[in-house]
Formats: sequence, structure tokens, C-alpha cells
Amino acid sequence: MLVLRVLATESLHGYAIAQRIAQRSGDALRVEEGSLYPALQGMLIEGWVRAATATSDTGRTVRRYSLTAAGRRKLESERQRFRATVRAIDLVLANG
Amino acid sequence: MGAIARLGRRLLYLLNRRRMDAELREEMAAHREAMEDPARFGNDLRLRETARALWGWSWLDALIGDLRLSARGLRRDLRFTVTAVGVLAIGLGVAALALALRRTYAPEALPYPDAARLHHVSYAPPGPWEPSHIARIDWPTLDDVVEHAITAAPARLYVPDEGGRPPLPVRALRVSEGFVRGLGLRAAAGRTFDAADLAPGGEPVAMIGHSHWMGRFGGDPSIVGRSLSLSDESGERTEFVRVIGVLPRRFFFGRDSRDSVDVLLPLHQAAQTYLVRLWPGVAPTIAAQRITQATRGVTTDLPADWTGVRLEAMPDRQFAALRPMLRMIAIAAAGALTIVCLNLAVLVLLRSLRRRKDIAVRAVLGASRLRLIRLGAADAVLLAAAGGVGALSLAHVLLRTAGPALAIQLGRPSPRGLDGVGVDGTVAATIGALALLVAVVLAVIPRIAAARDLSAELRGSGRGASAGPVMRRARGALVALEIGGSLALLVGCGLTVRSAMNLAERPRGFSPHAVLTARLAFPGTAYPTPEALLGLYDVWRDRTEEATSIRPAFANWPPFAEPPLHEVTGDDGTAIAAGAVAISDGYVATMGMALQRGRDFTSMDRVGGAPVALVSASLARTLWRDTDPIGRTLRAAAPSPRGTPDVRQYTVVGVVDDVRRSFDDADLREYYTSWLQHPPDRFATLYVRTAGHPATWARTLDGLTATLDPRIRVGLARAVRDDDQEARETRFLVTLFGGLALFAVLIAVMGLMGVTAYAVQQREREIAIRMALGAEARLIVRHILRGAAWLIVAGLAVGLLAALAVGRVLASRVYGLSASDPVTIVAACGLLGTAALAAAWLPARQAATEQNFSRLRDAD
Repeated sequence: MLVLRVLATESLHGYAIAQRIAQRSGDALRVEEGSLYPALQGMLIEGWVRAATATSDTGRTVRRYSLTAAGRRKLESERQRFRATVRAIDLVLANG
Repeated sequence: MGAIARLGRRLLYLLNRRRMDAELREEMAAHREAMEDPARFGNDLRLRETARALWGWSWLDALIGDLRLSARGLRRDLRFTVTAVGVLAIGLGVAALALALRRTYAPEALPYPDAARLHHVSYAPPGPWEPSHIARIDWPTLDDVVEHAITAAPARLYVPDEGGRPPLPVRALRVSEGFVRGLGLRAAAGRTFDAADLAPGGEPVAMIGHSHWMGRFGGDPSIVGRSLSLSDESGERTEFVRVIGVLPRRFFFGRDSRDSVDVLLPLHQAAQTYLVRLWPGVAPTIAAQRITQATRGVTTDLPADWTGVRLEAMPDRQFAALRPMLRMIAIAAAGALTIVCLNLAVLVLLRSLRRRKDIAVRAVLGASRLRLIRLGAADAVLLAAAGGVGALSLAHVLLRTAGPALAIQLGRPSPRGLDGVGVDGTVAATIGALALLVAVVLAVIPRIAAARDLSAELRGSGRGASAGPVMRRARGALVALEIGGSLALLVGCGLTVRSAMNLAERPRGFSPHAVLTARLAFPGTAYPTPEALLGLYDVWRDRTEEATSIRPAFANWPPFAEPPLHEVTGDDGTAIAAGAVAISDGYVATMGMALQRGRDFTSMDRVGGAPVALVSASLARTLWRDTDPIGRTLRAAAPSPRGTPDVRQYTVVGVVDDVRRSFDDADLREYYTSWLQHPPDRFATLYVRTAGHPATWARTLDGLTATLDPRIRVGLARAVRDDDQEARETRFLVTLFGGLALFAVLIAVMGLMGVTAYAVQQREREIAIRMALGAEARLIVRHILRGAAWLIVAGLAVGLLAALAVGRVLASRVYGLSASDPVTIVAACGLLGTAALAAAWLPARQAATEQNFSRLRDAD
């Protein structure tokens, strides 16, 4: 979901996606950065993102990922589901 | 929708895997480089593996890995691989051959849709007459059973001279609307006849045959719309027709695919109908009854004992004669394939025994049983695939090169034409399925046996002890079965070959070798009286004899067909049926028949002279017992539909040897009348005895004839021997089954050789110790042979039972010997037993004579 959200505003390559997530979360959500790639492959299969070849700042060929229409729909439904979950947890916590 | 798109993306990935993987590696590397702390990236390789697995193709990688590993193993074991694939290719190849032949002579191969509903109509038994006026049958009144009456009248037409060349004969057919619709006629170019073309009074149109189109017009599509001129035999009447279409490539109409049609024209008058298409579900017997009634309605001269109309389905008429042969080939192919499978099972079993240690080590190193089974399956699949491909190539090459010869030997070209015998998709698919079945059997058999022994294996490893009792029994049983199967096949082949040769070796009473035949057609209008025509025959024969010193003879009946029967009566009034043939003077000598007594016909036995006859020895014996038939009177009555037979009297002037027209010709009573005493016809079939090639001879004759009268036509000359359908079948049978018999022996020998070699190898140590202790090589060999002999005896015993069963199946096709012919069976047992003993002796001998002390040392 985070990856989808980041790609919703602009198309980015792998390193930039990781950077953007780190920035937005204020370095709170730091994971093994490599695991981004299997996740991206999965999204390619599902058709949520598409990839185009580009050149990185360091001169290497990289793939630039962008969101597809299906990806946008997926992001929207994920966001709603997440909000609903959070609301429910909130409710539980508030009553406790 | 989503699922399909996903599958599409996965497939796209599969096709571009290498590039996609490289891209992933590249971007991961880029990512790492850009990071301040590359260690936080994670394990590169593991991540890539995970990503790759996501696409769902890892099973394919595993499969390819298995196949690659198995291929490497098979390459190392080259002798085994080549033998196994070779044997399988031959076994499946024979099966492919049988299947291809079956497909070629099947209703689907006919150039008409739904040919099973097409029925031939015979109004009377084959013979000199048929009911009159049958052309008047009103077919529309039968339209509740007959969908289409397929009427075709053949016409001999010629393309008139084009710049001095002689007129070109074309096979023309005038056809009804029922022909066009009933045969589902299509056009390869242009169109077929429509109602307007077929209606009388329209513009004369024609379709031309495909080969005619190719041969005469080079396949030029602009032929459609052009005008052709066609003349009759005399060249006096010429008609002009416009070509509207071309017939499909493999279209034919008649006995078989050699009866191609050059020109198809609309039929504008009544003609006899010999082919009908019945409505679906109509029983032929019902239809035959209705047609019989209709025939009674139009015919006035039916004999009292007329049995009515008979219908014969087109596929039966085309293929019934071939079916026993095709069935025998199929049975033989199935037998060959069975022993091939047994042989392969033995080979694979022995190989898995040789590789026991290898497999056990893998198991210890942690290969799961599933993985071991997968490896075994990969071996089996590779072998079966290679065998299947080999088989199809073998069958393809064989049919491409020998197909036309095969079709000629079978006596019937395929409905698809001489080049139409081949491996098609169905055959390939069936062979593929068979190969898969073989693969399953090959994968399963050694596993079942090996699974029990596997754990025990490592414990005993290095000791060189023979395999467990299960294995030993299994391979013993397989080899015995293999020998048994081979014996059954060998006996079957032996019976077939011997029976065929028995038939072929009977004296025929004539020798058709070096005899050529051709058809002669004289122009009718120029020689209107019989005398004039007869005079022309005389001149023609004299001229030919002067020029080539060969005097052509004539006969009205071919030597390999049963002649029509006449009722003949001797002096004492006993009447019997005898074959009647008219032959000219010189025919007896030309055909190599022997004159027993009396004289041959002379050129003086002609119209106007006293009627004379020759009789066969059998007829003479029947009519006149032991008395001299020369000078006796023979009365012969030719059947006629009106019930008053045409009776003639002849004086017997000679007796000739009996002529066997077919191998099992039982009725040898025939009489011959002088060809020159029958009113001559414009057509005659000539026979000459010459060693020359038919084509050369025909050219000579053509030139000669042209100087006499250019309108005389000499048809295609051919060797009389080629008409001998049975001799061809015999040659074919002997070749095919002789080859199969050889194959059966070879297979059995291979199986036993492999098993003995393995047993000897297993007992290397024991043999070496015995030798070291002073045992003679002879004794060792005898010891090993004793083990093999048990297998051979058991195998022969099983085979004997199978052979008796095979004999029972063949009983109706076996001539001149019993189906359980002891000579054949004993010979087959002897041959197979000797070959098998030799196969066991070779490796035994080798083991006993080699220097064994070194082996004893190195054994571990």
C-alpha cells in the first residue's frame, strides 16, 4: 500500500521509492530495502504497476515504476480498508 | 478477465525471462550503489530467488534441471541409450506404419464427404448381362430412401490435333445433378455445375480434372472461362465447351484413385445409375428392396431366378479386400511393440541395477524419494520422446520412399493417390500417446522393483553381491516373457511367410513373365464391316511381326481374373459350368501354356470356318474321362437374360494344361474359342512375349501403327505380371513378415545378452575366485549357461502357448499347412533357442577367459 501510495503521485525507480517511503514516514518504517523488489514483482504480476526502462542518476539502467488504473483502484480500496481497520482499533482502544 | 491478463503477463515474463532477470539484477545493483549502508539491502540472491518464484515458473526450472541431469546421464550411458532408443523407434515405427496404412485406407480418405452413405448398386451378378432399361428407373419416386442418384456415363473423348500431334485421349464423364450434389463436388478453381448448366439446352460447359489442369495447362487459373474443343473417337464430331471450374486435386471416380477424371460434362440423357447416396439412417437392405421393385417396374427381361439388386457401401467396396491384410499388419505391429516394451523394461531394469550405487548415494545425500522418482521419470520421458520422434521419422522416410511401392504391392493405391500414404497429425498424435504410455511403464517398472531394494543397497554396497531376489525374479520373468513374445511373433511370421510361399509356388499352368499387354483401338467408321476390320487386324499383325519378329496374340479375358461361366455339354449330355475365353492363334505359346495334345488355333480358324475349341485338361477329364477328346463335339450355352441361352457347337482340336488364375483357383475347367471366329470388335487386348521394356516396346508399336493408319491407337503397354495382385501381396507379406521375424529374434537375443552380461558382471568376484582355485573356463561357462538355459526354456514354454494362440488367429489365412504346423514351431524354437544360447554364451565366455586376478584385486 505504501509503495502504491508513493507511486500515485509520480513514477519512480526502486531506490527512489525506498527513499520516498523513508522520507514520508520520517524514517520510522525502515525495512530491509531489498524486499521492495519481490513486492514490486508481485505488483507487476497483478498489473497494479507498470515498468519502463530509464537511466538512474548513477548511469545504470533501472526500471521506473508507475501506477496503472488497476493499481489506483487497488490503492483506493486498500486505503479504505486500512482506515476502517484503524477506526475499529481506535474504537476498541478508546473504549478500553 | 484479471486471471487471463495475469496469465498473459506471466507468459510474457517466461518468454523474456533472461532480460527480466537481468533488469532486476541491474536495478538492485543500482539501488545498492545508491545506498549509504548497502548492508541494509538484504541478501541479493535470496531476494532475486523470491522474486523469480513469484512469477510461478520455478517448476519449469526444476523440470528442465531434471531433464538436463537425465540427459547427461543418458549421454554417459551411450550404448544403453542408443540401443533403447533404436529398439523403441523400430517398435513404434512399425506401429506408425500400421496406423498410417490404416488411416490411408479408411473412409475418411475418400474424396467424398460421408462416404459411408454412398452405396454401389449391382443389378445382377458380374457377368455378361444386366437387366435392360435400368436407365429408366424413376429415382425421384425413391426419394424417401435415396437422397441422390449419382449417375455418370463415361465417354471416350479426344482433344483434337494441335499442330500435327496425335489427338490426346481424355477420360471424360457426363454426370447428373445427383453426382454433383451426392458426391459433394467442390471446385479447386472456378465453380461447379449449377442447375442451369445441368439443364438441357444450356451453354455447353465443363469442369476439368486437377492433374489435367496441371499437365496440360500448367495450373493456369485463367483456364476458367476459356473454351475447349473435344472430339469423339472417329474425330468426326467435335463439341466446344466452356471451362467453368477445376476439380479438387484428389478427386477420382471409379474403382480407385487411378480413375481420375480429365473432363466432367453435364449429362443430358438417361443413363444407368450405379451409385446412390442414401438418407442418413436408411438401412441398405430396405433401400435395396425399393430399388429392386423399381427395377422390376421398368425391366421386361428379368430371368425367373433374378435375386434382385444388391447394395455395397462405398468403403466396403474400396477397402474390404485389404482389411485382412491391414488387420494382420496391425496384429504384427502390436506384437512387435509388446516385445519392444518388454525388452526396454529389461534394459531399463539392468541400467537401474548398474546405477544402484549412484542412486543410493543420492538418497543418502538427501535426495527425496520423490526426486529420485522424478529423475527416473525424466529418463523414461527422454527415451520415449526420442523413440517417438525416431519412430515418426522412420515411418515418414519409409512411407515417402516406399509408400508408392507399398500401395502398388497392396494392389490398391490409396484414395489420396500414390503419394498419399504418409504420417499425418492423427498418426503422430497416436504415436505420441503410445510413447507416453511406454514412458509411464518405463518409469514405473524399475521403481517398483528398486524401491524394495534401495535401503538394503547401501549396506551391501561394494560387496558386489547380486541384487535382491525381487530384482532377480523380475528381470528373469521379463526376459522369459520377452523370449516368449518373440517366439509367438516368430511363429506368426513363419506361418504367414510359409503359407504365402506355398501358395506362390504352386504351378500356374502359364508363365506371365516377360509378357506385355496393351489395348488396341481401331477406328470404327473407317472399317464398317467385320470382314474389313478382321482384315485390318491381319495386316496389323503381319506388319508387327515383320518389323519386330514378334506376332501379337489376342484374348478377350485377362489371365488373372476368373472368366465368365458357360454351361457346357459333352457328347453324353452331362452339363457343367466352365469358364469361356476367346484366344487368338499364338496366345497359348505367348502365355507359356502347354499344349498337351492336338493343335493350337491357326489364323485359318476365323469367321466362316468350322467352329473349333481348345479345352483345359480338367474339363477334358470331366467330360470325356479317359477317352481322347480330340474331334469331340462341345456344346456351350452362354447365359442370356431372356432365358433362351445362346448355344453353339465346337469341335475340340486340342487340350491345354489347366490354368490357375488365382492361387487357390479350384475350378480349372475352361474352354477356349478362336478369337478370330468371334465377330471382331474395334477394341482388342494384345499380348506379346518379349524381354523388352513396356515403354520401349510401346514406342516401337506406336511408330509402326502410325504408318498403317494413324487413327489406330495403342494404349499404355504394361507387364502382365503386374496384374498379379496375389503375387504382389505375397512379396509384400514375405518382406514385411520376414523383416519382423528377424526383428523378433534380434530383440530376444538382445534381452538375453544384456541379462547374462549383467549376471556375469555381478558374479565377477565369484568367477575370479573359482578360476583362481583352478576351475576350468569351460566349467564356468557351463555354469552360467545353465542359469540362462532355464530362462530360455521358460520363455519358450510361454511362447509356445502364445504361438498356438497366434496360429489359431491366423488359421483362416494359412494355406497348405496346419495353423499349429510342427515344422514351423520346432524351427522357430530351434532358431530362437540357439540364438538365445549364443547370446548368453558370448558374455559368459568373455568373463571366463579374461584375466581375472587383476579384477579380484580391484573388485572393491
